[in-house]
Amino acid sequence: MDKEKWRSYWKTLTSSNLGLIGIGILITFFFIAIFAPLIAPYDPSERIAPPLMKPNGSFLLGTNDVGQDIFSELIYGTRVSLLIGIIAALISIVIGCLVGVVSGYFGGKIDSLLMRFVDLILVIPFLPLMILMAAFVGPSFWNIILVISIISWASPARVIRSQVLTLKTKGFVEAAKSIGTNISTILRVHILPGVIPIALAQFVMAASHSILIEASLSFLGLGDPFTKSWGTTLYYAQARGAFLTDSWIWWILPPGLLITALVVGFALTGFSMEEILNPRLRKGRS
Amino acid sequence: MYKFKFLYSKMIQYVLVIFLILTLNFLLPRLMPGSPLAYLAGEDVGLMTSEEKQKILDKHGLNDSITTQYIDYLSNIFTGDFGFSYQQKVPISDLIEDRLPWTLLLTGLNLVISTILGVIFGAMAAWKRGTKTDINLLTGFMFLSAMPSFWIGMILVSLFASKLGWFPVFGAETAWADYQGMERLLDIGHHMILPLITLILISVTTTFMTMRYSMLNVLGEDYIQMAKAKGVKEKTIKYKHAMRNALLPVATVFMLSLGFMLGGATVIETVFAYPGIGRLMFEAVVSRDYPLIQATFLIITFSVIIANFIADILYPLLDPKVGKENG
Amino acid sequence: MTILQVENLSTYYKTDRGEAQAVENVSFSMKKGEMLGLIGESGCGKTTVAQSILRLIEYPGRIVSGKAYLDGIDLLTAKQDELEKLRWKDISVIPQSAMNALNPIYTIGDQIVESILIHEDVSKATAIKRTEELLEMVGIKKNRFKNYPHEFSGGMKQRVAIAMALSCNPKLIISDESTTGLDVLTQAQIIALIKQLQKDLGLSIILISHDLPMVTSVCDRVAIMYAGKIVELANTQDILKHCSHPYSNGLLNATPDLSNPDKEVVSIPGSVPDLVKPPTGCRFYDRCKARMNVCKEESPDLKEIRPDHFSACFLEGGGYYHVQ
Repeated sequence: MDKEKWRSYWKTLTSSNLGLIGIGILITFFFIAIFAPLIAPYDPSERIAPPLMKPNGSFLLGTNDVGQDIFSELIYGTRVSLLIGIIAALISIVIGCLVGVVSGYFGGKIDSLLMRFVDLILVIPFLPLMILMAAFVGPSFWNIILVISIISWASPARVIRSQVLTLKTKGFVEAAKSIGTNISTILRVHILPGVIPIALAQFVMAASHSILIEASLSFLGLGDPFTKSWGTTLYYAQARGAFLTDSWIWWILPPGLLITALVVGFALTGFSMEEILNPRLRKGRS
Repeated sequence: MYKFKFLYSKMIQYVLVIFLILTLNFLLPRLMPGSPLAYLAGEDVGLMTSEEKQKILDKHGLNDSITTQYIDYLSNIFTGDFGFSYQQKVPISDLIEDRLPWTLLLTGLNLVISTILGVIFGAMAAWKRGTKTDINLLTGFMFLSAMPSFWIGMILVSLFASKLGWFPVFGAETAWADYQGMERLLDIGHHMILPLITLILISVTTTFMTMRYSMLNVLGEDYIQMAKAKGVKEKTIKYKHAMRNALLPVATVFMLSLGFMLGGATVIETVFAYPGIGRLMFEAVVSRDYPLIQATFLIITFSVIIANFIADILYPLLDPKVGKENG
Repeated sequence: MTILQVENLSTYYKTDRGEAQAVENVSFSMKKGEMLGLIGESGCGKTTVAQSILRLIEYPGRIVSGKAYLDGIDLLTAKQDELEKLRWKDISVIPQSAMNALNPIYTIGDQIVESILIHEDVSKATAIKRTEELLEMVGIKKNRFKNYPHEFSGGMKQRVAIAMALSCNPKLIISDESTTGLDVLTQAQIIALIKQLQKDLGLSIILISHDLPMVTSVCDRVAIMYAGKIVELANTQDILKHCSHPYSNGLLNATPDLSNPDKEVVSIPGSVPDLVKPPTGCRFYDRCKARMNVCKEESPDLKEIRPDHFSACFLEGGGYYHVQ
């Protein structure tokens, strides 16, 4: 897409209230993630107070079982959750795009082979599969990303393939083919501009899924214990029985709310992106 | 026969999936860095003498050629032998036998209830599209699907089990109580309410969204207009003409979400310490009991595939196009 | 005897830019046992007229004003429960595309039986028997009662739809572009079937179409619509021989004539006016070859220029003598 188109795309996106709220939420979280050291009052890895303190003036959300500040832990956790979500989504979308474009554009045997494979992956329950793989590769920041993205590309690949199929039947692609334009030019000039907006919306959706999956994996103890995400915080809260006392209010409630807010932010942005791409949805009638 | 062709192609797909996950399961411990010993016999392998190591290697046939190992592995699985859990010191098949019924009970109920609720709410939202009811339902379900499933469970436990004491905090039945008959049934029901509600809350959104979208499409179809023109009553149009058609995509999504539901059970069972397969998988992960992790994964996937296949067999009852010949 | 009397019907559609006057001030009547053709190009409002009479207009559309008396009862003000009783019993439809108008998950027999049972106090066995007769009547073997829509070809589905329209012996049948999407041969068969049934059973039918030769070959009278209004209404012979309105003339000239292969086919230049902001004067003004100053200022009403021949044009004789 050229600059003009991007501008109108952005304009439509921000003109919808929901899209605006979504983008607002995302910007807030990016801000928190980038300036975490300035916002967090303590180093989250340091034991700076007695364990299991109630919230008070100096420890907004109290302390955990080893005396670390929960508030600071959550502020730094924003970095981990956001980063894992985004990187994992990015990798799955890149793989998804590659598979989708190759499959859709070339069709035939490659297409049926790739799509068959995608179908196989989609049948396997993804969370148990990820748990299995995460258990084998061991808990670390990059392993979690690897495990999420190695499985999450399948469904975007399907979406992108169907978009390529639609584009392929458009007059200008057939025209370009018939005058002998080479493949890379057709892909670059005609196919990619139609794929990128869809891929972008898919990316935003994938990010929200990745964040939830990361939280689940971390909650099951498969997260990196040294870079604590929100899910890891919840894992420790569960393991230390925070739900048995009042401490659930400051130890369990806040991380979950943060995850929900971030996922809502991505989802709202994604919905409004899809709405722009599919004006049929915008009218509210089918 | 179209129906059989359809089932046949589905069956090939499922056989391929089974083959794929079995191969993955076989390869994972052998491809990972380090000796496969650690994955088969636990992490205290470092303390073993070389003689002991040799014994384990022999027992698992790890000195055989890779093809022999593979064939042995497959034949073991198909005879129901999933190996030995070195942490719990029992054959894995025994553990699975204990745990599987609980998971089937929980997810089975969840499947039925959340599908019914999703269909009803989805149809309602579509029927009243654009109204407050529709928007409220949409917003509610969107927030619900943005929450981490296990967190919903944790909040429910904290609030209703721990704080208010209405429900037990964990387990599937009261330990050592030795209830019989009706009493036991009530006890099990009492333990199941919170995990079940959690599972329903996380599962219902997909059905709702699909049903709403599909119902909107159906309501725009000519045959709905036609039914109106025929003087069919609104209620009959809604239930007989629109809903039945709108259910078709829901059935497809239903199959896809089976895996999601069983996966969801893994985390939810963990939150409620519910003694199902999912909880077993978590226990295995925590103690790095690799054969057990693999076995639970296999069982969950097998269940999904079996459920899928049953759904495939039932699907033609809904859709006459698949049910009849020369479709 | 008049079976249907439509008076000053107006139906608008809400759009992003305002309300489009899809049907504006349409009046006509038809006699029992008559076949009336309603003709015009796509978007001229002919289907909207049909849907308004059937009260099937839904948001974003709305019926702004008008009356439609079917055998004395105003369809446009009838209450919902009255309407449910009236529909199909008194007025039925052969729909635009029967492919989509039949519910895919019920057998065609069940769907016809359903419409009988809703409106008539008969046993199911009677309804089934009647359905089988109806199917035979439209040329479908009765043993196909238990088949699903997808097991029929397009033409066959259209026949099913006709049988369904006949199921309660309605006073009026609206055939709304019933042959779109069918091949030419099947189209001719379906139209011949409708005409045959109309003659045999004495049906009153409104035939909506954009196919002028087809309409003039089977209809007793023809109403020509342009941009939401009826511009000319007369019996078929008058339309063919004494066509009056400049638009009707244009339409005739734009249609090839098989009996006169030398005839030059001339299309009407220009395009349909914007119905959100329709011109204050005649809606055909921009494209009219015989336009006058008055046409820009005032909108012509439908008036009788000869016995039973109506035209909406300011020219003397409705324009007939001037356009020749």
